Amino acid sequence: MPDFGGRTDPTPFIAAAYCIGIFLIAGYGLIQLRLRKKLRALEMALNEGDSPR
Amino acid sequence: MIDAKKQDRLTFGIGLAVLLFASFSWFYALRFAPSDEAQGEVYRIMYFHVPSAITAFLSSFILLFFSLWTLFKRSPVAASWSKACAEVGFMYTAITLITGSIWGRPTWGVWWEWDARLTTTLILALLYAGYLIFTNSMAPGSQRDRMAAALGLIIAIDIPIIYKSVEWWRTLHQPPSLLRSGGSTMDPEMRSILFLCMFAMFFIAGWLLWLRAVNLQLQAKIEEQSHQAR
Repeated sequence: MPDFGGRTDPTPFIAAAYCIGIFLIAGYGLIQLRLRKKLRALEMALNEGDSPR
Repeated sequence: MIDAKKQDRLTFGIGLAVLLFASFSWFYALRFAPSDEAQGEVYRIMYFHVPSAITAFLSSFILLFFSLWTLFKRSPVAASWSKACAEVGFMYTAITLITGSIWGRPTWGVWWEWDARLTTTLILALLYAGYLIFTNSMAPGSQRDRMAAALGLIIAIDIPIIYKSVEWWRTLHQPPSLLRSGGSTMDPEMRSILFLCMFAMFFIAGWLLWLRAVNLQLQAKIEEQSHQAR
């Protein structure tokens, strides 16, 4: 029996740590990818507006 | 020169590859890393916590580099990279605090302790938050960039204090077991898995940094173009 850390079931703690970490990283990455898409659309709209009709 | 569509596709592809590599490292750490004699299984959180902490510290060194670049060269590109570093660094510091707290509950019996290592890491999170509040609340321009760069230098000062905190003060947090004089005290198998997880985390952070910095530069370019169009 381990001296400490082994008396409580570690599974929920391990799952919570990994899930929160992955959620934050993936969330930030997805937000940035979506933002990139919006920015490209804006850039295209601006360039089209600049071009002579 | 590659066009925008190709660049975005490349960004997405690299992101996917990095995510796969990171998933493999986490799966390996959870499934194949040996159990710790003293802590049992809960120590597996370390494979997420330690790489996040080192990435947060590394972000502040990269922030220091770009802050100096901004101060000396007055480059808006360096300023956007600095802001991206601060955002990524803040997120990784938050992850470090959260995962450390989750590990602390079954190991130390408490979620939080005002221990020197924990407190100095919390200060790092607050410094990053202050940097982001400051850059978001000021009007864009060279004055904001220079003041933000000065803040970036202050953030970097906290890193050696965090690292040395376990030696300077009596702390609940264990002393360094990886980067220490006299060599690592970690089991070689555990150490190699930790390095695998660390590299995976560095790749993720690098990708996020690149993604965010390019977004910020694109945003600045669009704002400039729309001002000119008015």
